[in-house]
Amino acid sequence: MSQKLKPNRAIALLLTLTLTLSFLFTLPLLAESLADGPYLVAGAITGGSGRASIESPVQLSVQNGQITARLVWSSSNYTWMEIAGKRYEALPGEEFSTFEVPVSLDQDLPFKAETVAMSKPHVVDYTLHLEADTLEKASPDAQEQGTSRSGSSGKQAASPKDREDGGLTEEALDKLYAPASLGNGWKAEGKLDLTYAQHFRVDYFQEGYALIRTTDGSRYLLIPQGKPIPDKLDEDVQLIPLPLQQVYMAATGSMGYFAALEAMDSLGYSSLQAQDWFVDPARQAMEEGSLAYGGKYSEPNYELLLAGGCKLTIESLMISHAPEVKEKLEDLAITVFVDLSSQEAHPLARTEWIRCYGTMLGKDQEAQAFMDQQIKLTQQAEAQAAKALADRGQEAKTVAFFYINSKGNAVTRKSSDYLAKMIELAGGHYIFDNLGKSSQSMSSVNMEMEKFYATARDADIIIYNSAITGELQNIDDLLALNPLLAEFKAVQHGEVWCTDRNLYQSASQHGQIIRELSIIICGPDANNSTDGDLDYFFKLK
Amino acid sequence: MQKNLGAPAEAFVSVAKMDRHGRKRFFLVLALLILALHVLIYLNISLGSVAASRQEISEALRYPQPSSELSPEVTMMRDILWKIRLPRLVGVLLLGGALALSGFLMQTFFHNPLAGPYILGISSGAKLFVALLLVFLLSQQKLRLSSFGMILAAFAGSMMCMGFILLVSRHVDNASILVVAGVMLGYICSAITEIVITFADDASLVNLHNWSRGSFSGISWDHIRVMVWPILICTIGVFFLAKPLAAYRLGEGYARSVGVNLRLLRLALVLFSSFLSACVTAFAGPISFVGIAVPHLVKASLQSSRPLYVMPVCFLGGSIFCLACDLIARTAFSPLELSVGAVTAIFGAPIVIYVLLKRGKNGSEVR
Amino acid sequence: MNPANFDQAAKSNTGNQDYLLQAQKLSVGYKGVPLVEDIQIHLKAGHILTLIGPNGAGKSTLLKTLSRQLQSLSGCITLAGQDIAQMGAKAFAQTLSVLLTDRPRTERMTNAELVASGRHPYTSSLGNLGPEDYLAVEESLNLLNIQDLAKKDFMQGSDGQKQRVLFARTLCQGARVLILDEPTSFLDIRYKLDLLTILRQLAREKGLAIVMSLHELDLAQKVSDDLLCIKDGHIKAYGPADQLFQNSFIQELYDLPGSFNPHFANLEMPPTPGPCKVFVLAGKGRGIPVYRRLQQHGLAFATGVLHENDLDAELARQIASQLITEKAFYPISDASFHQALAALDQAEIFINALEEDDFGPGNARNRDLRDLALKHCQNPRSLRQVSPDLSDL
Repeated sequence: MSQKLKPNRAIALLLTLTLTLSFLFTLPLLAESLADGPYLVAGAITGGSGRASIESPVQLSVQNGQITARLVWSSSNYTWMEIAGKRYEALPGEEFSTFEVPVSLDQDLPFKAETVAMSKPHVVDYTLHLEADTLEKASPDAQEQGTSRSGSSGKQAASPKDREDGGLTEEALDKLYAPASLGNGWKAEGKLDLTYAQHFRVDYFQEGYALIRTTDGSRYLLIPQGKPIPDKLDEDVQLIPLPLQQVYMAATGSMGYFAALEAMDSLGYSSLQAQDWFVDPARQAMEEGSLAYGGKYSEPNYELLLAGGCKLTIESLMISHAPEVKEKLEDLAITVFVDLSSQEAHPLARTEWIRCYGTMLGKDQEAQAFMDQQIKLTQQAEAQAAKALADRGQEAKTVAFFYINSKGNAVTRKSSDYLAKMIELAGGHYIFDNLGKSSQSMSSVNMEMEKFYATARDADIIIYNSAITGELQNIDDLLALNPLLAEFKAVQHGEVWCTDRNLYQSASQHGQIIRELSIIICGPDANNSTDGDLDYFFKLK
Repeated sequence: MQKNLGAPAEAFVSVAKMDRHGRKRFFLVLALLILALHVLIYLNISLGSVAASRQEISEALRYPQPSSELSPEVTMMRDILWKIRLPRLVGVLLLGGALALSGFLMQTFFHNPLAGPYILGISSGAKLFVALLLVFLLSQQKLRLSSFGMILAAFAGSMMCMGFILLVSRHVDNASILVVAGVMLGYICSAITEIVITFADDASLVNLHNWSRGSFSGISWDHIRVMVWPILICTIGVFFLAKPLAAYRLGEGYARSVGVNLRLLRLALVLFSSFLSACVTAFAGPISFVGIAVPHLVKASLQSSRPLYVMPVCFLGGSIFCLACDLIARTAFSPLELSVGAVTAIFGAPIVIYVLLKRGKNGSEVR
Repeated sequence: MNPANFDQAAKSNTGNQDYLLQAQKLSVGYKGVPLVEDIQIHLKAGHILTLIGPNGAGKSTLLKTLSRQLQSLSGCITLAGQDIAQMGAKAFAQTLSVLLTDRPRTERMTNAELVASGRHPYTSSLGNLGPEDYLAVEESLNLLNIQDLAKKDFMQGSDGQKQRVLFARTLCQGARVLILDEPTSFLDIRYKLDLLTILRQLAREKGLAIVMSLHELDLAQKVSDDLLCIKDGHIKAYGPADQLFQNSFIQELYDLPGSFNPHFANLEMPPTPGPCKVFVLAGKGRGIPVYRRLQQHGLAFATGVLHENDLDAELARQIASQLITEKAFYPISDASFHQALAALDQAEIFINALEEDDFGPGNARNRDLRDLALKHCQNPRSLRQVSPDLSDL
């Protein structure tokens, strides 16, 4: 019972505690130190007109901790690259513009490049993104392979897969999928050909059975109506009995697919109340009573679901943070399908998920037709963008997309967000081209007012997202939010647009959105659609 | 004034009579509470989002395992009962009791009527670890999390706080300094949680917020299997503290004078109470007011503060209180579910206010 | 030892020459810093030891150390022959019980319950009392005469009631040694006496050894066998009470501004300083109220001629500026008479506290003194008479 104080021990424990916590803090920030040698990493560039790209995977070579990347452009018109004030000339004797530049893996790299594609040499701003997660060691002859690959790939029309900014390589993808087998020896007889989507795959088996796999390693087996459940399935294969009915839709971004496929009657429950749906068919169904409120995704009304005979829940990635809900649902013999469309990098890849649901609903044709339509709209947009650029010989117009929150901060999207990409595809340039690490899963960025003002005031076009903060009727409403906006170039030129649609719920309509963006950015198109015909945007006067 | 010290006084059974009276009252209150428990169990089984007749329910209750003998409606009810309502009921029973008991221990230990299970900063530590888990480990999307992962994280956070408090308690003589330490620890953990949140994406933020509201939803038999042992062991262990706690009511000096080992008592109290409240926080998130209000209600109904009587009644009282609040939370605005913490606060806070007012009015304690 | 009633305890103690409580070279204090050092205590059964000393001297610290509330810094304490550091908690609690200055704040605890909590070392593992325990509780309640308060809530009692309840609790613990820290606090004069009477009885009839601290010196004088005086970190004195109760010793011990009367163990405030302008003629106790009034008015006074054994002389010795005395049993001599005259000359105010009947052969010359004074009083400027109640002052 010594009364002597031992402050040292208390201090020691306090220090240990602080250190442990700081260690946990810095876990994600720990950089790997690399050994010397050749590597491959997925990479892409953003900026400029959006038509130029670099070959991915990018070859890296590491020497004494210094990383050098070999960037091969999709055109031969680039003469030099300037990084941090230092200029690098194109390597001679290469079919396409090739540069060897120093890079780092944990940051995006802004640079300038000169292109002689137009009549006079032109300096364009770009940003290089390297997907550090996909880093892998390359075998020495991979370098050979790489060179030969660059030689053989045609340059007329870049295939869609090459255009995925920030997408994953085949090798990286394969690692994320579970094998396309069921465990009972059945052989896959065919697969669904996808153009853009990377995070789901469909394999067809005998007698109408189909297997949907997603990149979190899940496998879902569709059981055709009236057919039995096959024996000797692997334990982790989850079952989706067809036809779909009384489905609990807890992924708000995926409702649009069902609406587009006119499959609302397959759904029984929704995780939002009627007034929170932007998808009209969903709101109508809830108001009519054919779609019931099943509780929030984090607190579903289990009794209701069970009583209603729900056998399938469609959840978004939010469910990973509430694992007990997933476990409970599975406990109640309700299959949980985790929709990974938000992981897709390309905007059209998200839209292509409609084909996944098309398979589930037995509406493959309709899904394909819908997808083709969206692709067509996108191609129209791209064509118009190319035309506008060629005609006017300008650089792409810059677009700022943001909203002002209740605290007065500007909230924008990251540069690798799908919205930014849609703007690029539509012939514009997302003005915040250096925001946010692509490996983080935040989609919005809270921008500090000064930085926002400095960057955005010169944007040619402003698109304001009023879905979150509430309607704006005219320009004065906008200026009421922050009088500084009056200084913005876009405001002064009358190029202010607004969207009150919840873009998050509109994944199935990305083609349409891109089309409308191109009308906004590049002007009315060949069909002479004008500004007033747009579904998703309207001009603020 | 010569006193005759040899012979006992006349009404010499009066003290024994008072004790007997107290015991009778204890058994009476116990019986009433057990009755109330039965009523609430019945209500919790019968009421829910899905209505069912008494026959369906009683039939469904007879089949813990799925059976082909049952008609489809009863099968559905069976699933609902055995997979949803019953595990939730048992969970609320156990956790409610644990909370009330933990609150009582803290109130006795600190001689503070406003003390509760979280006075030592337990829930803030749990929230911090859950936040760290959600923000850093999950966001990397390399880790697939099971519900036990979150439970473990919450528990570990609570234990860290408890460890800190134990360390501080070794160096202080006065127990009330521990309250300050606990409150400060709570603030530190909250502050660090705020910092962690800056790195959080919207999903983590929402989920952390949901977690900290506290809810009994989603308790499964697996959870019960894990939580029943620590709670039971702690409850029984605490029972053995009844005698030293009774002596402790007079303050540390007098407790020491009758031979109570204060150091051990302090350790045991902190350990048991923290363990109990850590269990609750791990499985249901932080739930306020149960631990503060129920002991007051119990002492008022027993008209005594004797720990031997108060502790079992507290456990029962906590179970009943939480069963009632949970019932209201899940059926009042069905299919919307109220936050159970809100309901406990609505009922618990007035109780506390009433008790304190009554104390204040009389200048000191009330019978 | 588990005495059901106290008789057994008394029997085992009679004729026992061992010390029940002993301390050798004991040093007490907080956090390693000694407050009082080199303490020796030897206490036999049936004896009462009182600690006296100024505030902050360390009486409470010593009592807490003796009762194992505090760790001793050095030295050794034995209780009934055993080192208390080695004793188990239960055995110790059954042998020694303590009354602290702590004021417990309880919740819904009756007085009976509180007293019963003293039986803690004897009750079952769940804390239930047996018949012996109930008996002991009843006895304590009756002894302190608080049976009527038994059902009431502890916190609702007055401070005095609470103190008696706590004392009852200390008693029913069935210990052989009682340690009491200021047991008379909050008690009115009647209960103070009551408590001390009980203590004396317990010591005498049950052979308990009692150590306590008191602020009331008069009570200490009445009840103690031995006295332990602490001041400035040392034991100033330790020994039988009657030897230590001397004026100068107590005055020094407490740094008294006034004086201490060892016969009655009472304190008086010091005499008003400055020249004496008042002369009081007194005797037979008539002067006492006058002296007190004068002292309250802050007037210095001389008084005489009083015999040494006169009641007034006892008080005047302490609070008069000048006292003129005569030897006991002798009539007033010339010497003292002239002394009184001289004092009278100095005075401006004359108070006659004596009545006609108060003069006799023993103080006959006081009558002359009175007449002389009255004659001087015809000239108010030289001497003024004031009535004993000072109403025309």
